[in-house]
Amino acid sequence: MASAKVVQVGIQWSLSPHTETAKCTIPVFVPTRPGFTARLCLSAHVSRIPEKYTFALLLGSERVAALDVNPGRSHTNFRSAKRETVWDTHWQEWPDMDHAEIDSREMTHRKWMDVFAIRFGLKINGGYRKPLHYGGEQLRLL
Amino acid sequence: MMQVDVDQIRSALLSLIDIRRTSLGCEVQMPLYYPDGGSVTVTITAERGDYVIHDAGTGTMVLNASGVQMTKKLGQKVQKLIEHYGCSFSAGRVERRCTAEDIGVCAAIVANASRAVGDQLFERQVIAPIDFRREVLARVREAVGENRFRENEEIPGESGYAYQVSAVILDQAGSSPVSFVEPIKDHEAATKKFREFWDISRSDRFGGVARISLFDDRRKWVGADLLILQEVSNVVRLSDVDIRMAEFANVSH
Repeated sequence: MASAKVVQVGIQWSLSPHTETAKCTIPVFVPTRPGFTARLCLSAHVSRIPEKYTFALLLGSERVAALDVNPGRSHTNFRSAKRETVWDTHWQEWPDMDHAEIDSREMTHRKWMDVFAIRFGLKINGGYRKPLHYGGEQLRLL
Repeated sequence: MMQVDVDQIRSALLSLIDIRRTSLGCEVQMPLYYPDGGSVTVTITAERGDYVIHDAGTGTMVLNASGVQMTKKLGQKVQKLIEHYGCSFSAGRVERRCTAEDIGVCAAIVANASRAVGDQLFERQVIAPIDFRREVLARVREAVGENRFRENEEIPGESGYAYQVSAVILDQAGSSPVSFVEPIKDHEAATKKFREFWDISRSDRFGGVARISLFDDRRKWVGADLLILQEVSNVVRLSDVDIRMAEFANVSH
């Protein structure tokens, strides 16, 4: 987790017709371990207010770091059987992905992205694009 | 002796249900969980005299957040599961319409259906944390230098079939190939690369270029795999890659 990680590809959101979630998956390069199959998975709800985002760092098929902003759901630690968050924004980090750490800050997607990158040693060289958002309108009624 | 207190159990279970209004409607946290530990939340809105209960695509979002794409095949599988619950599944959203008197049951049904979407996490294709090919090629590149390294070069065999050779080491001028390199991850790769090297070895144009099979010596091998590769190439252990690649690179024409 401490190794420097580099994202060379710019963010390109994909949004299938009438869907509510924009998503983006980009490869992450770990210079000290070039064989690592790391990816950054981003997703964002396109109409909900408060805006809902997910940032996740994957190694192979396993999540090793995640940030859920305004997830609209609680997080429960299956091992301790405790509800650790109710509606809150929270972080999860390997090796204890069951544990959620609440973050009460309110920020833009760009700012959350920067904070995520700093915390997990990601250098984002590709271009940034914020996710599409329809400003609270339900997509299906448009 | 401890007694089972019905009221206490009811109260504990009810405490897991939480409701909040957002721009989507009333979001209701249900006492159900996706594999990532998040509770299943359904959204309730009123529309043309009915209630619409849906998951706002959260089940699909759980999959996306773990790198699982909703492919056509997965979509068809999920569609069947959702139909089992009497819900519709369209563009990633689980949905059901109902009247006021059915709202509780339908909220629970939609929540279960949405969890069935999230449960597809257990069915995902496992991706290894380390890509052997990428790891090997990075080490070869480092050993011989950027100017003498090419990746994914198309080399024709004697049969006329063109192979994508994983790496080519060039001479000091950076113009002609001196070695072809293939990472050998497992039995399947050994079989496939044997054919490639055998065919190239018979080619007039490239038959004289050294062929290197780099195998992963951290795992156990069936001896026959390495023996057949030895017939058509130099078999090199991954642990020797730095020294051996430098040797091959120095055999420049």
